[in-house]
Amino acid sequence: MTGEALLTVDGLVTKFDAADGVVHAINGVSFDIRPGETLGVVGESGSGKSVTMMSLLGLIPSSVGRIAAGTARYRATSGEVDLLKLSERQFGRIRGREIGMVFQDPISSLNPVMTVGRQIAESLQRHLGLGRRESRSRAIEMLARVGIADPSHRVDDYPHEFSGGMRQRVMIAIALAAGPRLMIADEPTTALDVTVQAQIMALVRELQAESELAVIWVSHDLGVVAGLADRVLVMYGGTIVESAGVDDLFENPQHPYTRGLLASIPGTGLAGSRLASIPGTPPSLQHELKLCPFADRCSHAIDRCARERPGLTPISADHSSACFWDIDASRQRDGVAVIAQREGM
Amino acid sequence: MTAGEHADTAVVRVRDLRKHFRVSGGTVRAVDGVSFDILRGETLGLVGESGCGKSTTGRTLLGLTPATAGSVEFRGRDLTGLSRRQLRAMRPHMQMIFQDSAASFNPRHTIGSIIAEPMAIHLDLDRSAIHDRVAELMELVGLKREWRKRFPHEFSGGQRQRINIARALSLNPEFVVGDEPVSALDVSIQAQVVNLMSDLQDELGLTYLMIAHDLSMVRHISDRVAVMYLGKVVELAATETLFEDPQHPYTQALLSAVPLPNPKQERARQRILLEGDVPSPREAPSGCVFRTRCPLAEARCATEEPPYREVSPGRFVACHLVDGAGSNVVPVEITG
Amino acid sequence: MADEQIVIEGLSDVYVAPTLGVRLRRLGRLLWRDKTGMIGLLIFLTVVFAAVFADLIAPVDPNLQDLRSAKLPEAWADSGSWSHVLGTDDLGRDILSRIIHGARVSITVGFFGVLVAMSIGMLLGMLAGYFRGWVDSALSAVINLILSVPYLVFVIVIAAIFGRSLFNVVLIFGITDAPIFARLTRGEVLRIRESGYAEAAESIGASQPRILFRHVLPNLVGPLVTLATFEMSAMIFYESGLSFLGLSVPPSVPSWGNMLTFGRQYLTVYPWMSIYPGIAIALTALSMNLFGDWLRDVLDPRVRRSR
Repeated sequence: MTGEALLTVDGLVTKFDAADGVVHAINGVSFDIRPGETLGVVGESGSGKSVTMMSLLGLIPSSVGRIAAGTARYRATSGEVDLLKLSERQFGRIRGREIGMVFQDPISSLNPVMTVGRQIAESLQRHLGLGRRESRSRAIEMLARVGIADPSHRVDDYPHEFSGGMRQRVMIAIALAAGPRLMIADEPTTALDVTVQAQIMALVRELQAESELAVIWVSHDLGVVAGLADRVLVMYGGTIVESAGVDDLFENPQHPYTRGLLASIPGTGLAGSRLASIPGTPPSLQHELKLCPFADRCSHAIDRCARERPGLTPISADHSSACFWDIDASRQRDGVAVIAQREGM
Repeated sequence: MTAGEHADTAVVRVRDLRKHFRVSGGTVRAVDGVSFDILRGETLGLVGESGCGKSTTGRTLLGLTPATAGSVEFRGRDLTGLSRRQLRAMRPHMQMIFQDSAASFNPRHTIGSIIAEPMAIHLDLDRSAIHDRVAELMELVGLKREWRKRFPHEFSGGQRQRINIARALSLNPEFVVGDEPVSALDVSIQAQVVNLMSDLQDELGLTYLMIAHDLSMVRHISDRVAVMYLGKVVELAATETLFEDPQHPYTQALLSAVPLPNPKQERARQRILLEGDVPSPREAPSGCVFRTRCPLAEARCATEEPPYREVSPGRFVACHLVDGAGSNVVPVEITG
Repeated sequence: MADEQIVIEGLSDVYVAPTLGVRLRRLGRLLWRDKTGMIGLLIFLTVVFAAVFADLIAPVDPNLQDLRSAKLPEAWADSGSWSHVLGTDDLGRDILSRIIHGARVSITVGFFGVLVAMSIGMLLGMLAGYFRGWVDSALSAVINLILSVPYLVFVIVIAAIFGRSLFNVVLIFGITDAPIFARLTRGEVLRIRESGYAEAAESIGASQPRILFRHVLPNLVGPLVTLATFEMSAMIFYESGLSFLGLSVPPSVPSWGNMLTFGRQYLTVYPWMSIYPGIAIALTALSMNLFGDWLRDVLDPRVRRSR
C-alpha cells in the first residue's frame, strides 16, 4: 500500500447541460489511490460520487456533459496516461484491461443473450489476445475465483439463470478477468440483500489479499465503507469535503457534514430516542460553486462560508477537511461540539 | 414508549395469515402462516430480505390485497371477512405510508388535494373546514401551508414522504403501516422523517407496523421486532432482546451481516456468512424454510416444519434447535 | 439554531415556488424550445382555419368549371395567371380553391373519425382494463378480430354495401380504428390500477368509481389526446388514399384524394394538378405528427418539469 500513486486525480470539473442551464456536477475533485489500497467514496444522491467515476472511465456521453478541467494520471502498464484526455478508442484499451468496472445493477450490465463464460472470455480475447479454448478455461477459473460453485457447468449459463448475488460475482469476474490493477465499484452491493452483501464484501477482501488490486468503492452506506476501505473520501455538492484514513474519519470526523452524516445513522448518534438529522436538502448545483456547498444546512456556518469556498485543508498527515469552522476552538468554547439536531426543512 | 408500559392490549391480532399467488408454473407462498399481535402505542418492526413477504404481509393486513387464509382482527372485527364496502368504512382507522412516495401520488393532483382526499371521502366537511385541516396537517409534518397548490414532483423525496404522512394522518387513524417509509431517502433525510414519525406517534398515540430492511433503522424505531424469511416469521422479540441475543440462526446471520459504521468493530467482527441467496418463494424448501442456508440444519429440519412458539415470555422463535428455555443455540461456524 | 441558518439563494432550490407566471413561462419556453412542435401547430391551425372558413377565403367556387382557362399552370409559370394561383384542372376548376375546400373533407374525416374511434375504443378499453377477467378476454377477442381483418377489405365491403359518402367514411374509420384506442386505454387502465397512487387511493378508502373517475380517467387524457393527433393524421392520409381509389366521397366533392385521381392521368404533362394536393396531404399529416410529439411532452407534468 506504499509507494507511488496508481491514479492521481487533480482538479476534476464535470458539467452537464440541462434544459434550464448547466449543472455543475463535479466542482474540482482531487485525490489519489495507491496500489492495493481500498478507497471508499461516500456521499448522498447528487453528491457527485458516481459522476466522478464515470468521468474517470470516459463514460460521460458528450451529448449530455463534458469534463471541463482536470487531469487524471493513471500508471498503466504501457506508461502513464491521462484518463481525462483519452479518445474512445484509447479507452477501449484501458477499460477492462487496466481498470475493471462493477456497477450497481448487474442485470443491465450483462448481455442477456450471451453466456457468462463468453462474456468473460470476450474480455480475455480482446485484451490479452487469448485463444478460444484458453480463454474458456480462464473464464472457468475466474468463476471459481469469485466463488461460483460448479464453474465448469455454470460457465455456459445465461445471466438470468443466476441470482442477484451470483450475477454480481460474475460482474466481478468479468471486471477482473484481464487482470486490471484498479477496480472501480459503483454501489456494487446496494441492490443486494445484507446477507448477500456480506458475501460480496468478503469476496473483495479475499481478492485484494491475493493481489495488489486497488479498489475504489463508491457507496452511500457508511457501514459498508467502514468495513472495506483503507481511506475514505466524503463527497457533497460535487466536491470532496473530507478525506481521511478510515479509522480517523469515523473516530475523529472534522467536517460538519461528515459529523452530521455519522450522527444520523441510527445507533451511532448521541443516543436518546431522536436521531440527529441534517436540516434542509442537498444543493441543486445549478450555479457555479463559489461558496461552501453545505453552508445553508450547516449549524456552524459563518458569514465567510457564504462568500468563499473552503478548500481541502490538511489537518494531519492523511486527514483533510474543507471547512472554515475551527473545530478545536469550538470545542474549547462549547465543551462538546453539537451537531445540528433541529428538525426542519 | 415500550410495550411493557401498557397493558398488553393488542390493537391488531394477526393469526395464521396466508397470502398465496398463483403464477404460471406454481404457487408463490408470499405469506405463509404468520401470527403476531401489534400492541397499543407500540412500533412493531417487520424485517427481512427482499422476497420474504414483509410488504405483502402489510398489504394483506390492511386488506389491500385479499388474504388467502387466516384472520386479522382489528377493532373487534376480522378484516379478512369484510366486503369491500365494509373495509372502506374501516379505512379511516388504519392507514399506510408507502415507500415510493412519488408513485403513490396522482401526478395531476396538487398536494393540497392529495392531503384532503381522505377527508373528502370520509368526512362531511365543507370546503373551508377541509382547507383549514389541510393547512394544519401540513404544518404538523413540517411543510409550509403556502405549498398546497404545488404538485408532488416539485418536492424532494423527504418532503414527499412528509406529504405521504400528512395524508395518512388526516383522518386520525389508530394504526399506521409504514412500508419502507424511509428506505428511498438519503441518510440525513431519513433521520428527519424518522424523527417526525416518532414525534407524531407520541403526540397522537399511534400504533405502527414498520416494514423495513434496514436493520439499524428498525432497531432505532421499534419496540418489538419480527424477522421474516420466505413467508414466515422466524423470530419475534423485544427489540433489544432480539438484537442483543438473537436466537434463530437466520436472525443471527442477518444481524452479523449488517455493516457497522465503525471500522474497528467491523474488523474485529465475527461474521456468519450464509451460503447462496434466498431461494425463490415458488420453490420454498420443505420443513424449515431456512434449512438450505442454515449452518446448523439437521435431518429433521428437512422433514418437519419447526413450530412457531413462545420460547420465553414475549419471545417467539420457529426453530427446532432452540430449546424451550430459549437458551442460545449451539455456537455456529464462524467465518472472519 | 434554526433562525441562525444562513439562507443562500440558489443553493437549495429544490422547492423554488412555481407560481402561475413561472409555469406559463415554462410552457412558453417549452414551445419555444420545440420549434418543430410550434410549426406543426401553426400548419394544423391553418388547415383547420381553411376548412372552417373555406367559403370565405377560397378565391372562386371550387366546382366552377371554366373550360377556357382549363389546364392553366401555377401563376409564376410562363403561361400562368394570377387569377388561378395554383393553376386549374382539366375542367378549368381553380386548384387553390379546391384544396381549401378539400381541407373540409380531410378535417371532417379526421376529427369525427377519431371522435368515433376514441369513444368506442375508450369505452371498450376501460371496461376491459377495469373489470379484467372474462370481460377482458371477451373484449380483447373482439378487438383482435377487428384488427385481424385487413382494413382495406373492410372498407371495400362497407363502401360496397352502404355506398360512398362522407358519413360512411367516418363510420368506417371510427370502427376500424377503435381497437387502437381500446388497446391503449386498456393498457393504461391496467397500468394505473397497478400504480402506487391507485393503491394509495384504495388505502384511504376511495370507492371504485372514485378511483376510476378521479385517478384513472384524468391520467388517460394525455396518452389518448396524443394518440388522437397521430390517428387523425393517419385518417387524413387514408382518406386521401380511399378517395384516390374512388372509395370515399363522390368525385364531385372537392377532396385531396379526388384531386389526385384526376391529376394522375395528366401527371407527366400537367403535374401541378397532383403536386399541390399532394403537398397539402403531406404537410397536414406531417404537421399533426410534429404537434402530437409536442403534445405528448406537454401533457405529462413530469416531463414538463424536467425539460
